[in-house]
Amino acid sequence: MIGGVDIVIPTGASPRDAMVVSLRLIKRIWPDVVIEDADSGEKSVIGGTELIPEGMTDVFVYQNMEMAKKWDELGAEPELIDTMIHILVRQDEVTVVVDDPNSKMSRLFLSGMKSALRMNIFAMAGPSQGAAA
Amino acid sequence: MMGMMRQFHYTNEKAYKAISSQLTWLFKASQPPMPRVHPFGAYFTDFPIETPNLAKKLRIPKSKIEYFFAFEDVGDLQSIDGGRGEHIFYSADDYPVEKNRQGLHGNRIEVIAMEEQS
Repeated sequence: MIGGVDIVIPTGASPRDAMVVSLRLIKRIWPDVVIEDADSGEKSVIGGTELIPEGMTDVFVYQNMEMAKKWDELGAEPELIDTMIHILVRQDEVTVVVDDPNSKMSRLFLSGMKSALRMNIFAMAGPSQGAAA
Repeated sequence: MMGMMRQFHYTNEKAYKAISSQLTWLFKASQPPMPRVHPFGAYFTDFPIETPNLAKKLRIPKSKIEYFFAFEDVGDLQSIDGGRGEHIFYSADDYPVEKNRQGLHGNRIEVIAMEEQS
């Protein structure tokens, strides 16, 4: 009754900054990324002038809208492997839930995210309020 | 069960029938699907039956949340690591739930509909 692999990444970034940097990294890999607030079910397409909604701490990140709809319909079926990442941001850590941490997509994303979050790039770059993806 | 902390086990019809046919529910420990990262165990959650996006939060197929068991939480389950550990728990061994701890069980959608009508 549990699927996925939980990768816990320590960070000194604030929860808001940790979410912003995580979504920026994913968007580089998935340009048509769609995010969904895990609790409200509200979906957003991020990018351009769209801002990442404030206060999101538990987010499903889909490769695109087609995959988001398939996840709604099926849940975690094998045909949807590597099409959704679940991000949970907490104080001092970010949990990234993926299907297989050794897949090409996951390794690409996780290596970038671990570097960015451990270095706390926002602390070096200054405040990020209202950051766009 | 009102006011008690509850745990839930979600499953498919076949497993539901096997578990519910016994006086004492026995949730058998097993290895979660590949890759083998989560510990061998019987898995539970405190997410109630009406939780939005339940299958996605547990990262399992929707077919595996069709049925559920609810029971009194006596604080003897372990959390998984990370953010999901706030809501996902496991027992490293088979986990029996005797009659005095058992709560609602059945088809999740049907029970939600019944609760909404009452």
